[in-house]
Amino acid sequence: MSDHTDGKGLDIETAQAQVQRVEREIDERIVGQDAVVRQLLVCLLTDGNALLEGAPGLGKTLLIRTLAETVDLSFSRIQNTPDLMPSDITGTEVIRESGDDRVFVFEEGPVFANVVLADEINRATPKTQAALLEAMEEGQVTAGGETRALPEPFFVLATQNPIDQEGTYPLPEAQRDRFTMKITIEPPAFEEELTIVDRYTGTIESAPPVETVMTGDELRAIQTLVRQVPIADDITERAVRLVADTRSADRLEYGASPRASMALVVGAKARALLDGRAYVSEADVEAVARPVLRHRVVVGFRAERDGVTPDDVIAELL
Amino acid sequence: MSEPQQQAVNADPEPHPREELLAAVSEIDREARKAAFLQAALDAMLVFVALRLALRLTPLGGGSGALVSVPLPGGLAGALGGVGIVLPDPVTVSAAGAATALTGVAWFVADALLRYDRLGVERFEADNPVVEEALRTARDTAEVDADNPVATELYRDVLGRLEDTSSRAFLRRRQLVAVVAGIALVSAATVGVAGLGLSPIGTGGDADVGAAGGAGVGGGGGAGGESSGSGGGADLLGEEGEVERGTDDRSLQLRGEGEGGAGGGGDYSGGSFDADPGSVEASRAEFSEEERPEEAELVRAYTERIRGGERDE
Repeated sequence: MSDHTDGKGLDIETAQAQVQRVEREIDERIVGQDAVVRQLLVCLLTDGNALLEGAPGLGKTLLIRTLAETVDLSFSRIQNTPDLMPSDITGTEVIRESGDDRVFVFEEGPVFANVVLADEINRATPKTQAALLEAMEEGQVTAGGETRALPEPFFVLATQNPIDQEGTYPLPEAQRDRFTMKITIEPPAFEEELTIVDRYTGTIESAPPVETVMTGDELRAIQTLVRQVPIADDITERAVRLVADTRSADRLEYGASPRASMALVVGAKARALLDGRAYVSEADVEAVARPVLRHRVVVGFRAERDGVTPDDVIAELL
Repeated sequence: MSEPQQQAVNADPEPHPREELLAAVSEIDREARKAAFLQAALDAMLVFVALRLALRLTPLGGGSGALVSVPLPGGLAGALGGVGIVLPDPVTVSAAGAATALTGVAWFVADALLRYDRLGVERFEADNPVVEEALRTARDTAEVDADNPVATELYRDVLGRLEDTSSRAFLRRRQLVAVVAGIALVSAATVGVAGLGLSPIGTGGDADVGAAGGAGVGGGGGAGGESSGSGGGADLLGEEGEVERGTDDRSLQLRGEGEGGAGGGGDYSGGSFDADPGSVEASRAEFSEEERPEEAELVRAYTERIRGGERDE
């Protein structure tokens, strides 16, 4: 186990090798979806939260659970429903008997884990969704008049279903902005689906086993290293200009915030590290632009009526 | 490790990759400057010879052009004297020649500055894609004095990649060859024009001065600025033939007429012919005593006789 949590003594090559081991372990369970896994790892290395969107049965939950297992992080799952209360997430004080006395003890909710899977987050009420706001942004929870720190590293990996929107509560813009990336999962190709069937129907085990190949400390060290990846001034300017352009694009009703600029640059740095480079290229910015921006912009009514998606507009701006 | 060895290590520490990178960038910058200087010098030379040719073919460059005196800087005169070139001070040159030289110098300065602006490190990066983004990032990072493990790794990476790059791309070979060929062609054309005796209409022709632009250092006509009025080659060199032996003896006779009449200023004769005073006699037309000049018929006859005599001559 490495103890260089400040990134010192860790070089790009070693970090890349560690992340590639995680990637290989994930491949043991997840067939295909290479781009999705890449984006999820980028999000992990940037210490950000991810919103996964895809139809049911595409392996969203399995992917996140596998990630938590390979990186030796504590994992908890919140199945969001309309009757879910905020205290069900953050925890609440319960009365416990201690000898002759009864004392209030804070019972930690599922949010107290390194990796929190908020499944079908758009089925929770806005009040419950808001309970995640503070946790995602501040890394802390306030409950019972007391603020408690969440464990580090801390990720909220939420999923939502693009179909069957009845009885759902779309995430407000403010909350969407707190997700570093929105990763869309497409159905697998035919050959990939054949492999999935072969892999998961030949044994009673629910999923192939995976090894833990990275510790939390090692992950923190790599996260520190990501922030140190140099980026040229003109590439930073291009990233910021791209985000600024979303605020003046004709077909967009709302553009992205400066938080998107930061996410874009850090995401590009993480992608560079994944490729084993000590510098950011323009291709890195272009590669992370869609997942970073697609949930932060709102397509105008007329453009939406014409079938224009946020990805289309971002592609134009690129 | 012994003490002397330790001192040697301390005396020659390995430079930090950042310092090495900055030195490499400076080296690239120097190469860009040299390339800009070379190309600008060739361009200016082409402009200079082309202007010379143009002036030779236009009335502006005629021998009747104004002359200007250009004082030589002391250092320049000394330097030229050191290599055996002695120029009068001030040098008298034609205005057209001076303008040509000044245009060449101005072209060189402007061209060099513009080219250097375009031939910076950015041009090097564009010409060497293998190092483009890495070098750009490393330069930006080094300028802000970033010193972390990843930045150091980047510096080392870029320094390694620079070994596979070249600054040859600074020199546009086709452009250089074209300019050199242009200089050769225009120079040949200039010599041809001089040899064929082409001259601007209504002027004596060559008005360029050797001192202008250094093109004719020690060349004819440079010091005096005299126009030779060059025509064809025969005019310049004379007819071929045997040269007779001359003589140093000369006789000079001055004759003055105190009356102040026509041609009373003096009569100069010199050279190798004999100036016999008796060989030339003054004569004037006169009438016979028995004839009367008032008669018109007689005047007409005399007039016709005189005209007839002129035609015979």
